[in-house]
Amino acid sequence: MKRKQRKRRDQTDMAAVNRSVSRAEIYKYIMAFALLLYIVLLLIYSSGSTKSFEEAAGNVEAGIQTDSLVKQNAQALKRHYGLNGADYEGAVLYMAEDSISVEEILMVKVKNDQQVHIIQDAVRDRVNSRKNSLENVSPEQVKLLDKARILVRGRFVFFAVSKNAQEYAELFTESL
Amino acid sequence: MQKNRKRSRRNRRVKQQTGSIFAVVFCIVIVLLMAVNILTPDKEMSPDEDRRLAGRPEFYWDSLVSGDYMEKYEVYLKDQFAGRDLLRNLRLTLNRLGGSREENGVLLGKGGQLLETIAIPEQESLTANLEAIEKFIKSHKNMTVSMMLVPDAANILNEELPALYSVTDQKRMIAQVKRELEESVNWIDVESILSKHADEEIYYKTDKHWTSLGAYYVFEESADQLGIRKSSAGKFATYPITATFNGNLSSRSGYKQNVKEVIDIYAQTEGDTDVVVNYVDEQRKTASLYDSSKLKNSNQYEVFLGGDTSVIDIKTVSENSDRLLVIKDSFANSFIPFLTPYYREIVVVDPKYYGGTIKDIMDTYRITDTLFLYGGNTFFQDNNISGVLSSGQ
Amino acid sequence: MLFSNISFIFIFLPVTVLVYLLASPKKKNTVLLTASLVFYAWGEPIYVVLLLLSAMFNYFCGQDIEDRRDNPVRAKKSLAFAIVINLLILGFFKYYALLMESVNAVSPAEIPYREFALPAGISFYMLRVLSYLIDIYRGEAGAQKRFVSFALYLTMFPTLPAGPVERYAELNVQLEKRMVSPQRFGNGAMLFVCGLAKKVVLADSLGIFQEQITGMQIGTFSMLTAWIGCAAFAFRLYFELSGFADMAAGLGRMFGFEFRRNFNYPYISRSVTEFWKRWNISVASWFHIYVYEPLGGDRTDSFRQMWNLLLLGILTGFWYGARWQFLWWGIYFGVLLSAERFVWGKLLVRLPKAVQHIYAVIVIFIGWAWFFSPDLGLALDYIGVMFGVGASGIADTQTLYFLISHWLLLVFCIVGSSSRGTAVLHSIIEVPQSLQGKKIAACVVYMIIFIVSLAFLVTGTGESGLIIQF
Repeated sequence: MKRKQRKRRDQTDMAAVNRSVSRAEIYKYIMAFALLLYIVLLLIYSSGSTKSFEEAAGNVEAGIQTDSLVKQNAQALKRHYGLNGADYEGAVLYMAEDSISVEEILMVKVKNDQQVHIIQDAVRDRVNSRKNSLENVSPEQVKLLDKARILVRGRFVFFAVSKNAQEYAELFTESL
Repeated sequence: MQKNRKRSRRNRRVKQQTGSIFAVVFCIVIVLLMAVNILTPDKEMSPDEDRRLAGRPEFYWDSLVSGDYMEKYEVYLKDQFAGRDLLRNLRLTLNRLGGSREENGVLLGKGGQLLETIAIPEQESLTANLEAIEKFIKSHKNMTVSMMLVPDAANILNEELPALYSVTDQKRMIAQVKRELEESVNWIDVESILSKHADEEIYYKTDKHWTSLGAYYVFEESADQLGIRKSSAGKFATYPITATFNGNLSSRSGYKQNVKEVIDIYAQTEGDTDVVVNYVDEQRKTASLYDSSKLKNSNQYEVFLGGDTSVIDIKTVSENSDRLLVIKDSFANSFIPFLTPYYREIVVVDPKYYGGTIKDIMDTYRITDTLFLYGGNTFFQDNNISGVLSSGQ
Repeated sequence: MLFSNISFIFIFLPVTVLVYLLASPKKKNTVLLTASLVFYAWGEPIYVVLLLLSAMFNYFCGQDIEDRRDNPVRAKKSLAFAIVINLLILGFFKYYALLMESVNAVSPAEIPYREFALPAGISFYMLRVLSYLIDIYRGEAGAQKRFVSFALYLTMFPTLPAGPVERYAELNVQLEKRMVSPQRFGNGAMLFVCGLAKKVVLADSLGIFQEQITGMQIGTFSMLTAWIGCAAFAFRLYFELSGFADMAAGLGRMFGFEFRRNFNYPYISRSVTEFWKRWNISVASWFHIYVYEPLGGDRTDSFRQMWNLLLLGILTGFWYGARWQFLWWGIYFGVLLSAERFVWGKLLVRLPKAVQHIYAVIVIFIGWAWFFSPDLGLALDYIGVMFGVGASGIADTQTLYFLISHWLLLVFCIVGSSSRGTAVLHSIIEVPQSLQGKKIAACVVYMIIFIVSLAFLVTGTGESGLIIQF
């Protein structure tokens, strides 16, 4: 009686040990996969790029609809955002021809990480000032401003206000 | 032997019991400082440091995710820390005791003279600026373009430098610019004029700018070269406009914050002195070259033309019909009053704030002469000139 | 977040201490773990996920290795898998840019690559992880059953940004049982205050000083000025790293943990070998235990030893930074270690102690040129100036200016680099006669140090320092 019980106990113990062995191993592989997945997500959504500004901007500019948007010169950046283009690696600004339209695309590559926050603040100020001036004039434009896309990828900063803002944002991430 | 053992046992006891007491002291001090900081309201400006203090950062999700919010929050806590001015003085006093004569780019010279350290130019921006200036001159061949690069105090007041300090040679940098532009530009040698008067008060003691006396000397001795025929309208008398001026070098460094200086203005004694000063972008007009409201702030030098802004259009009642364009930094603000008797209109452009192109200026105003007036350090660190001059050409 | 942030000292620390003291003993580790994750997320909002995922991965790896301990082959495979994955992650974040730059240097076309910010503290973290896995494999410790305790070992905020790297086998007892007392708390606070002063008063001031000199163009400064600049960096690095180590130890003690000293007055060393035992001790001993010893340690023949020492130097150099000049620093020290052991070690010991000390200081300081120069060429140029090549003379007024305008700082550096510094402090505390007086004197002295540190912290330039690149 006792021996049978002991044998059964040992068998269940062995089974338990075998089970716990495989459990740690399975979780180990799951976590390794999760890590890999996380890194891939980082690569896609938050990595920077060492591509030159001209190359990346060129790809984006090729996809911008120039019937409604006009490329601005360097001084426009200072006028509207208070940013000096020469401070950065590269900057390009597109604005709508129509003064009521809020459509705007800005792409900047900064020289160091501190400048990223300067650009982000300038973009936020720009959005707020446009909202204030158009609040009672054109609510649809204000809605577009609310849906504006701001993306920071490493040293690239991208800002788009447009009904096609999402497409432009994707164009930007692809061109990195 | 016994004594040593007793002493080490006593030391250990001191150490152990000190721990318990210090634990209490430390906690109390931290909580006290926390409480003081929470209870004192946030300040907007620091008069001592002459700058705006960071306010509580606004919360945005993307700034949280990027870590930007946390960085801004730390700056906010530091800027609004209770007793910040006291702590700053403590640090500066300790540094001075330790022999330091330099703080935040400001040198503490002999005789209480503060001097700005000489900046080394970034070659790329400098070349871009010089090229832009040359291009500008070439596209306006009939116009005289003059250039005044005012050396900084550290290069002229050699006697006042801190003991043993080796100053970067700005004279060489200025000579390099002169060589580059000599053929196209009407170069005015400000350096030799100021050097002649080096033992007079030609620079403020607590500010980086030249005094009105210094500007006056330069005007007197360069007027001919600028093509100005001096007339009776050009007689000046000096009046002190304030005696409580404490300049930007003092607030930046914390040195000599108690020193009060005099700012003189040179007023025309004869002739009609009416001017209309039009701040173009702000759509504001005043009738004086001097903005006395600025005398209430810490940076009283802004009394000249109200400080720096994008474009100022000054219309005078001068008999001369010339119209001058001045592309400048803050040094020019105290120089322009000497020019107003001799030009019908003076258009003042500061590339740091001006968001338009030079073509807009030339199209809007009928400019006959141009003057570049810059302080050395600003010019060699500037990267705004090329943007204004090259676009729209 | 760093220990030298206002938000840390006045918000994070008081809140954490309060919650910790109020928590039940069972929950204390959870409190510390949560605080540590918040601490990390404050500075790295995105990478905190990486930290958690890695902790979970390694938790299961450790369990798996232990489960297979009866079967050495399978255990080894499990260990290898874990090590490879961990090193791949470290390699990716820290060394990917270096790899791509090197590829771009030789390839005809410029290949753009993705950039990543470096997760803070990743170098120290990896050493800790590997020590855990290897200790379990060797049977020197059992796998930590509680995930909270394990994650706490990996991420506890006192050791997260800048070490020290404690071996799991030595810390696991303290994870479950440790004593918090007002006495230890106060001693920890005193240690923390000292570390803070080392970083914000000494290291940051030295930073401004050092960058003034090392930023000058080669050929514009004299030989002696070059040495002063190098010394400024040497002291800066020491006070910053040992300052953070002190703060870490102080914080640990406040919560009942005892860590081993990470720096033992390295600049009083009389040889490179001795220096290696006094500088960044936890990292050096990690490489000794997990790399040098397994390769044979001191037991193999001379040629093998020399090769192993060189390898040790190279790995340590690369651990410090992902740039080629750190590799050269490692080779430099590896060669010196071998040379001292086999070439001039015996001769060295016979020299007078002062001469030995001078030799060590010269040799160690020269090595730092690879740390502060932006690239290899400039490092060699700078070292050249230190020996007169390309210098504008032996000494000049500028040298004198630098010495005089920082005399107090240099005095503090020299005094603070040896145990004389603490002796001076103690003699000030000893001044009052009574026990009570001594205690008050101690509190006053440490409070003064704290207030001075605050002054420099709140109104200084606010540079994070060199620590962020590890």
